[in-house]
Amino acid sequence: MEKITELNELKAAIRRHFRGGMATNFTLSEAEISGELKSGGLFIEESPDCLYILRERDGHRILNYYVNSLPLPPVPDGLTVCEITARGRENLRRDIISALEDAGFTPLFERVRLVRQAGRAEPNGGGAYKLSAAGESDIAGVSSLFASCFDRLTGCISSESVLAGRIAAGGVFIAKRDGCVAGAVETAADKSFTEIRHLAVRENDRGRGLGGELVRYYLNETGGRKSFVWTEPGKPAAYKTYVNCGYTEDGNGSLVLMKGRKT
Amino acid sequence: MEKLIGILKGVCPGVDFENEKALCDDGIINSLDIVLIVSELMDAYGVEIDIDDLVPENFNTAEDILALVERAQG
Repeated sequence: MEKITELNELKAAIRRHFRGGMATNFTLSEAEISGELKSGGLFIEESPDCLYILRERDGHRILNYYVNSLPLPPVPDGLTVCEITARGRENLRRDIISALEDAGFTPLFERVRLVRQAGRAEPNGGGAYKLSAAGESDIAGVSSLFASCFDRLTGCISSESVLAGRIAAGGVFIAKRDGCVAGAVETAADKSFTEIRHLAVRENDRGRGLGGELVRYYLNETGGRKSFVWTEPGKPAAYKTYVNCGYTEDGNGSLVLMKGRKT
Repeated sequence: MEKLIGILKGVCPGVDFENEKALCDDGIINSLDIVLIVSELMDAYGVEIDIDDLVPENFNTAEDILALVERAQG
């Protein structure tokens, strides 16, 4: 594997594989790539018809690719997670999944994207919970909640610095009870829409509608802008929460695969 | 335009490319869709499009996308 230290090195590698008919799952923005470069965990592995982009995380890697022909070359050893997102082009999607399975990956679960068109939501007040935008002092509480609710490999949990940035931008909302963070929703804003990145409710506080209340609170606080969320149909409670808040599937889906053994 | 619309719908079925005016800005297509669209366009039109052209401004409408292809055709 070759370590990438500058954005232009990565761009040059992508250009070598950026051809008609290619398959890819990599679209990081320059801002996000800069973050990866700063952390020193960005690597590539190249063969004539395939570019692997590997992003180091705590104890595992995320695999991205530009593939111009199959079969895939060997994927570097180690615990590796890969997410394939695509709509349409079902044949290509099937071929890539099959090639990844041949390379040692196992499908874990599917995600679907939901959309809620612009429109105000009406929170009910939170009941026993105090809902508010998160502040700097809530970073540890929110991080801890997400770490307890999402898988460290596949949960795409934001680092504390990314979370701090989202809190500073007014995109994280929390529900507190007895001074502790009982639920939180982390969101990111784009030009005319927002996206839920994580929604979590503490185990003892589930089953009381708090997740839906947090979603309605966030929608209200962000002016009822169009909203997206990726969720797992295999987690019916979360899926139902979103549907009850007005979200519907928009045709985007993904499959998460893993290679190696989790310790 | 008809050929382009056919290609776009092949990559992103269900999207109203004929009428949408803010495909990226409204989140109707995302950055991955853009890459896959460009991959198909390069194949179908035999043109080269640079990764620096993969910006939302070039993909908000079918007309924007056609203009990008025409620039690539020289």
